[in-house]
Amino acid sequence: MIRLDKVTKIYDIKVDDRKALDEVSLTIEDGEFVSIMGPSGSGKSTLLNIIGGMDSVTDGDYYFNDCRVSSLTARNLHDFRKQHIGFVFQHFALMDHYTAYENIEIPLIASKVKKKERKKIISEKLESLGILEIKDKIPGKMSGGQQQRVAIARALVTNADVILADEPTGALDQKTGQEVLGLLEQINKSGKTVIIVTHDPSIASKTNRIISIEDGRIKSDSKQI
Amino acid sequence: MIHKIFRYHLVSVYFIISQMVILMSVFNVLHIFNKAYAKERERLEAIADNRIELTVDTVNGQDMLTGAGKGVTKGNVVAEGKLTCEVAEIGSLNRCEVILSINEATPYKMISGHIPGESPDDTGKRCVALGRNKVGYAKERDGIKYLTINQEEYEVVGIIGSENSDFWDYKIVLNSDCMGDKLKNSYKSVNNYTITIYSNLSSVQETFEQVYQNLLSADSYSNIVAVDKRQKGESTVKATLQRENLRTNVLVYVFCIINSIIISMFWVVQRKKEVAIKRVFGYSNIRIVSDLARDLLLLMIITFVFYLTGYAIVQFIIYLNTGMYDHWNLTSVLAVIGMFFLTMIITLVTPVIEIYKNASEIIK
Repeated sequence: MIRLDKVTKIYDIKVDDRKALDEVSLTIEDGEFVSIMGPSGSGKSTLLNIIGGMDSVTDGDYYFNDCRVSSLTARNLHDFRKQHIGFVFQHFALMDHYTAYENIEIPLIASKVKKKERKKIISEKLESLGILEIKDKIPGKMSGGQQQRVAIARALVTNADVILADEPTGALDQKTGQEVLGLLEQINKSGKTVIIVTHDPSIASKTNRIISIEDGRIKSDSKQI
Repeated sequence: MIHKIFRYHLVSVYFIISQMVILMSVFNVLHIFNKAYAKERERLEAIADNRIELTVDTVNGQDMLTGAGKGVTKGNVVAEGKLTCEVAEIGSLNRCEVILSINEATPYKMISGHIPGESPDDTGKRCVALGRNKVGYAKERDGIKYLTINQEEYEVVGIIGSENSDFWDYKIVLNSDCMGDKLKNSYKSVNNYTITIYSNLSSVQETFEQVYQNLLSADSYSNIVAVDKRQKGESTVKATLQRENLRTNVLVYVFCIINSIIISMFWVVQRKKEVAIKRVFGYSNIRIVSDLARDLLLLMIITFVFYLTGYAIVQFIIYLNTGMYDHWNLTSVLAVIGMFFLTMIITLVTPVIEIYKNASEIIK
């Protein structure tokens, strides 16, 4: 379970005391499929980064299950990310000079998984996502959809509890975007919590819960049946 | 593994080139130091235990050299100082030394042959021994080398040189019993000589007295100052280092270090995204730094292997042509290893600082 309790984020008080997040409180249960919607600069990516442990809070608390993430040291935060969070980014965030296999391998190397085991896990993941044939290709040689599948595979390999996707279809065409969204739905159905940041209502409508955010505050939080 | 190191092709190649130049400058500096100290060692080894040096001033145009060594039975006597000879093949005047008497082993290191006067066959013949640098000018006829000195032909009976340094390479050694008339006559006009009497086996006092008498017999008005030499003379190290452009190599090394830092900064800029992604997915900063250090180390090892291969080939060619090769000692090896790691540490400083920046900002 993810719980935010009056979380505030100000990036640099000395430069600008504008709040990226302003006393945001919310709870996300295990296995939910959530979208966070809002216009540019609304704080949705900031919210995602805080949930993912990539950013710290200025005020308030963030709990992941019983762990108070907001008070973790940098080292522990890093371990928290490694164990619980998988990321999917808008522009895929793949390493351009690494093959698909090597990109997916990164979280496993960080988790000190042995080489043989890594090979097995990655092969299974590539096959399940239908991208086995591109395992030795670099991102420059892949289509957008293939790149995003590789990114999703990378997010899944460590069996993270939570998948955070920041505009996962933003760089894709309609058809490919729908395919990727379908994959995320399947991942959610397998029991993982999936949180998507999007500004596209058609994407948000595919999720079970839509949280709208504006000027750093939650404007609405509705569950869809 | 190799393809992983060369992911960033251009930067990796530039880095290797930069490291090669660093290695060249480091090896050059070491070579210069080794050469300078080897030369100094040779110089010191050549100095006999017992020496008396005579400075002879004469104005009467007499032949001071021919009879100077008469009756000497102990030690060796050699005239040097301002003595020169005109070598047609070289096209200029060259410093030379003239042996006046040989009674024990001479200090010259021979590659082949002997010093004029050491063989009974030399008597009555015009002959000379040349250092390795000079022998290249000699012309060959029927398997024998000749050099034209003061318009007379001299047979090259010995080549002087050492595998350790070039200390002996520029010698022209004659013997007063094996000299032509033209050269002897030219020495009559020389007003100032330095004559050294030396021995590793016995005192040179008796020899000095004999030589002194011989000189006075040739010119009773000559002024002779004798000094019993105890010191080892002035070191040649400084002069060798200055001559060999040590400063240039040091500057090249410094320039290349700066270049390596710039390349590594550029490398980090190229890898910024990679570093950020790795951190997001759980790599610790130490892990990222160690991956970068590993890639740098592997590149440097590859460079080192390339360089050593080239160095070995060049050394082999030099050895075939000159008989000389670089000598290495533990200090040299440790110095190279030390420089290697110093370069690596300096190169890593900026990347390490960059790597500790906030990952999420970079991802955005």
